[in-house]
Amino acid sequence: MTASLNLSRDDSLYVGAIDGDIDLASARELLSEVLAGVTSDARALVLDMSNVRYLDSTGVSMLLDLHRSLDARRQRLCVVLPRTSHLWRLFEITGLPSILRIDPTLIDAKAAAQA
Amino acid sequence: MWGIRRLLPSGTGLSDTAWRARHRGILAIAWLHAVVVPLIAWARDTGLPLAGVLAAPLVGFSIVATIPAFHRRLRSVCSTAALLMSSTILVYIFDGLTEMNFHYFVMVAVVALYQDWLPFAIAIAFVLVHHGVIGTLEPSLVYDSPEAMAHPWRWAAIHATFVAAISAVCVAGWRITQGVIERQQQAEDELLDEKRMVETLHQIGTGVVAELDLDRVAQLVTDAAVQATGADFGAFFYNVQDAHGDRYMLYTLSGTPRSAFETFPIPRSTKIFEPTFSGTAIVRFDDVTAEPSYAQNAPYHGLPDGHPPVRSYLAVPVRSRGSSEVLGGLVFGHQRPGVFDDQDERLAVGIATQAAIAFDNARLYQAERHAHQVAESSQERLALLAETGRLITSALDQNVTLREIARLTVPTLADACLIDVPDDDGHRIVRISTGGPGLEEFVAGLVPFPPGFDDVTHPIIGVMRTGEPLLVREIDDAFLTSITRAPEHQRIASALRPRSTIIVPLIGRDAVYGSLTLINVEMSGRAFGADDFALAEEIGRRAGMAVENARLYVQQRTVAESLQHALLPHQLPSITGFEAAARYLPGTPGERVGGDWYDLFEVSGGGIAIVMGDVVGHGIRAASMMAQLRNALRAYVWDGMSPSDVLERLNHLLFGLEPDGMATVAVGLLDPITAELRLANAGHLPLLHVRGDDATFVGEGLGPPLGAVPFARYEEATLELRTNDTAVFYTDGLVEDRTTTIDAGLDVMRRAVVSGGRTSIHELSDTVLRACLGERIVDDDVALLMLRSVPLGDSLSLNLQSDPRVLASMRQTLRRWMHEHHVGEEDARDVLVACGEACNNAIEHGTVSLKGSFQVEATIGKRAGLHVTVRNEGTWREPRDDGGGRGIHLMKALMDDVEFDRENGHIEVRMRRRLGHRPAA
Repeated sequence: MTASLNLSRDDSLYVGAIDGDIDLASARELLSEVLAGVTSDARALVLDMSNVRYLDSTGVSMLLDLHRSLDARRQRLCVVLPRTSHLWRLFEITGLPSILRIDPTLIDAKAAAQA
Repeated sequence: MWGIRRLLPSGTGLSDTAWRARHRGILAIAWLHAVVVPLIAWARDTGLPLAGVLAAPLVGFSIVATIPAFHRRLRSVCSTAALLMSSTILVYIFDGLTEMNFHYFVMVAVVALYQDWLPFAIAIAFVLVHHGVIGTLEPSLVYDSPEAMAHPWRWAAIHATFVAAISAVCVAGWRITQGVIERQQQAEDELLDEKRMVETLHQIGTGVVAELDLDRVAQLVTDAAVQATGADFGAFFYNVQDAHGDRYMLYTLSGTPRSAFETFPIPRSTKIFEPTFSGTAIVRFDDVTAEPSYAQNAPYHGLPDGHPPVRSYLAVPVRSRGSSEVLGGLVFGHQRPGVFDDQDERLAVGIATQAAIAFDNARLYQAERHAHQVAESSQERLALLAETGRLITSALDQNVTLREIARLTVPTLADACLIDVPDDDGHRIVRISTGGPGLEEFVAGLVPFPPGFDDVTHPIIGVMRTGEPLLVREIDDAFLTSITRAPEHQRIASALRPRSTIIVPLIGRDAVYGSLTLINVEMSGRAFGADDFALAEEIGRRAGMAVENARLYVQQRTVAESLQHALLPHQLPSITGFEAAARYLPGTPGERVGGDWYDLFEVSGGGIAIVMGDVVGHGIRAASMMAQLRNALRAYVWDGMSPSDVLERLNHLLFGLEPDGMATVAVGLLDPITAELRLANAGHLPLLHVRGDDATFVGEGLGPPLGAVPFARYEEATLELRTNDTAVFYTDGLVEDRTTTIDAGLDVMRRAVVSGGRTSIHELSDTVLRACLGERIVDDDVALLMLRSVPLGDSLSLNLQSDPRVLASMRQTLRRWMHEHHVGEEDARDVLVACGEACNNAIEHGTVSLKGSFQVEATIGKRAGLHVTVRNEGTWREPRDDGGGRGIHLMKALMDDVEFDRENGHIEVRMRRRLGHRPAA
């Protein structure tokens, strides 16, 4: 595994933090790990991407898949990524900001998720 | 008649000296008469002519008596004649005066002084005849009384009677004197003889008693005795006893060459010799050939042909003074009969006595010396046993031990030694032989292996089969043939003349492992006895134990070695941008396998773990503990633990596993991208960090050895392995031995590393081994692991497995390569993602049926920018809507140019990025 997930529950939310590289080797496992970890009674998942070192199209696909799956379970996905992150440009190129809710900090994201 | 003759003097008793003295006096009287008598005649008016006529015979006889050249008897007779003629003339001159006849009596007494019958008889006869003849013819000349003139014969007879009377008185005196002289002479002769014998014996005695060698004593005695007795030749037969109590007879000869007797047997107890060799009597024959017992015995019936002739024979026994034991006999011979007299016999007896004393002395000395040698040799034997005992426990190589044992037995115990140890299959053997020139080869050829191991008639194989030791005190022809099978070997055997042998089994607790054969040859003069046999058996037992121990040890060591080898990396993983080299030398055979280990492996997340460890102790135990530590360490590192955490856990584990165990370990975790090395050290020797000409030991991050302190905490040190830097891990076997201090060893290693710093890491490893170990025998395990950061070069070329897991290391390498070429952070990130996308495609759409691979190449140019090509086999598939399209989109967005080539089953993606100018999104 080139990436690791740290998932915790905060009231009606799940907060997941991903460390490392999200690539072809890790994306699929991460997805199933998150989906398995987030129980259906939760309202939302806050996914902190600020410590992700590498991300490519497989990571983008994973985020979109996750979004779709959670949406189907009526759960919101809020991504934490500051605009200063080197990943921001990839997000922009792939149009993620127009699809996902992205907040620059965890507090913002949690607030958005509670709303 | 005989009685009268015995009463009379012999007449020959006067010695020359005595005769000369008396003759000188008598001669003086004769000469006096020769002068005085003519003078008286002249004075009595007889006239000068008459005086001259009278003087002539007196002077004539006196002259003859004076000349020394004439015989003593003639001279005596002449002086007698002169004296008697003087008496006659005096009687004539005085006209027969009666009183003048008295002169005769005086002269007869004077002549008697000669003590010789001839002159004496002449004197008496002259008086009688002269008086008878002249008294009858011319009585007035000799007689002056008328009565005498009337009866001349009567008066002649009366004169003669008186002369006879005086003669008888003279003869009586003469006889008495002679007796005295004879007795004196005899006593003198006896004294002289005694003196001569004593001198002879003394001379022999001093020579012989000073000699302590039996053979020399015998020869001296024989020579002296032959000379003293005047024998033609003599022999001394003497008994000797060898170390085993066997008696036999030796002999010495004098007066004849030894070759004359070489072919004859030692004399046996025949009638002639028996009294001598039984010590009962002295034997002396004036003519041995005349003896009734002579020539009675077969096979020679007398003297053997070629024996020097013997008539006179003398033999005396030589008996020990202390024990009355018969030591031997002295025998003398002479070709003439009757040569040996009483004196010779006494001399021979005296010499025999001297010889006995000398023999007793020499025997005492030999006994003393033998006792000393026995004491010395038992000391040597004890040392021999102690040494073999030591060998069993120290040397663990069977061959070394056996060679040492073989070496120890020669020459202390035997002249040559052979140790045979058949292998389990009974054919191949360990064979060790020692001995002097020729002997070693001889014993080495003793057993016909293979084949022949089944040949139980061979004594050595018999001993190995039965386990029963064998002692052959005197090797006979049959035995020699049984141990020497090949004809050429038998020839060697007959030249070396093996005399005595011991064959003992090498016995272990429950098996016979081989045999130990000891040989003594004729030349060394020693044969094996019971003591040697017992000692050899003990050595055999010890050698057997040595073999057993060595085999057991080899088994254990093999297990330990296999374990260790199985756990050491067979091949170091290849890490792009790094070179690694490892060296591992197990302790020399004979020493035990240690618990050294090293490890180098990739960790999840792209890190590289480097481990160097050393479990305290040796053998299977150490090796198995090493295995457990090694495996646990791998697991902890794989789980993502930091080096310091790993050591803390290992320490904990060790206290649980093996409370008495202890180990030193250095753990490094390398980030291949940043080349950062995190290091923690549990009591291990410090890592050597080499940069250019600098080499420094990294002392930071050093904690206690594992197993020393419960719940020990470990610090970490961080080290940057820049391009061309080298990190050197090692164990103490490399830098420490019994002769040098560890500091000296570390210094040697540091210098070697600096001096060889520019060479390849493999060469450098060998250089360090050579410098540190040199010629010294490595008695401990030596492990050495080097890691060097190397430049990736102008272009990067990677051949990767079609497996998503390679992507992380691909990115790490590419990132480092770009870093090496000063590619900016923003450019590098974009290139990394674009390349990643191309690789994703290659992995996902490449040939998946086989274990496919794909290639990534990257080049960089100032103007051309950075080119990346990803190539794989397979067919192109249209991108899926969800992911694949996004990938291509990203590539195109991040790179300035992206081209796809698909032909002949190859798919190639070529991308270019101008550096420092991010493409517009």
